[in-house]
Amino acid sequence: MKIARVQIGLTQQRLAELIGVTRQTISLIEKGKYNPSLKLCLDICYALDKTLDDLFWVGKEE
Amino acid sequence: MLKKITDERLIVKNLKNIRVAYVFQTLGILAILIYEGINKGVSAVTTNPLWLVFIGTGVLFAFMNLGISVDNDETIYEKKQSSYMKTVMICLFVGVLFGCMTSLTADGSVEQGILLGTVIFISALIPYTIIYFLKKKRIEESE
Repeated sequence: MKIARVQIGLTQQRLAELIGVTRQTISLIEKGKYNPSLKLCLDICYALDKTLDDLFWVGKEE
Repeated sequence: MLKKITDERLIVKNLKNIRVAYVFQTLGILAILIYEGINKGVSAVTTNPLWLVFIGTGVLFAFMNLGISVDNDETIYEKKQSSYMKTVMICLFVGVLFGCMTSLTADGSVEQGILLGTVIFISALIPYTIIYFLKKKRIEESE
């Protein structure tokens, strides 16, 4: 997610404003310390023009 | 200026804070009531307005928790639920019945009958109304 955000040239603050959350929340999601709701995930995907797969998919741990 | 919180993480955090404050407040109320009970006796506790607040909060909490309890009722509602009007009519009938019975007895007056009938009507209507809307919600969810 961080890579996608930097590619578009958005700061955490700007992305947070676009979605309507705080910068801290974006930071925690990028660090993997906060588990966002599906709605918030979708909002992030729309803002970054990516799919859920691109940003959040993690292979199942065996 | 205070802005409305739209961040879901902060909303959850805010709710958790409210929970802690609620626990603190409840403990405070309990402490005051126990202190009164020890110093002035049990009758002073039940006449204290804080007692009403305490009991009222407990009842409100229990009623709200009805909606989030795990389903014990496994039956599938296939047939259509009976109408709410019918529930009201049954409660009204029971209220009127008890009211009439009270006013017709030897030591009962009409005022007592009306009072008792009204109390029974309201006391029957509230739980049935809640059950009605819980069932309605369930039927809507399973559709």
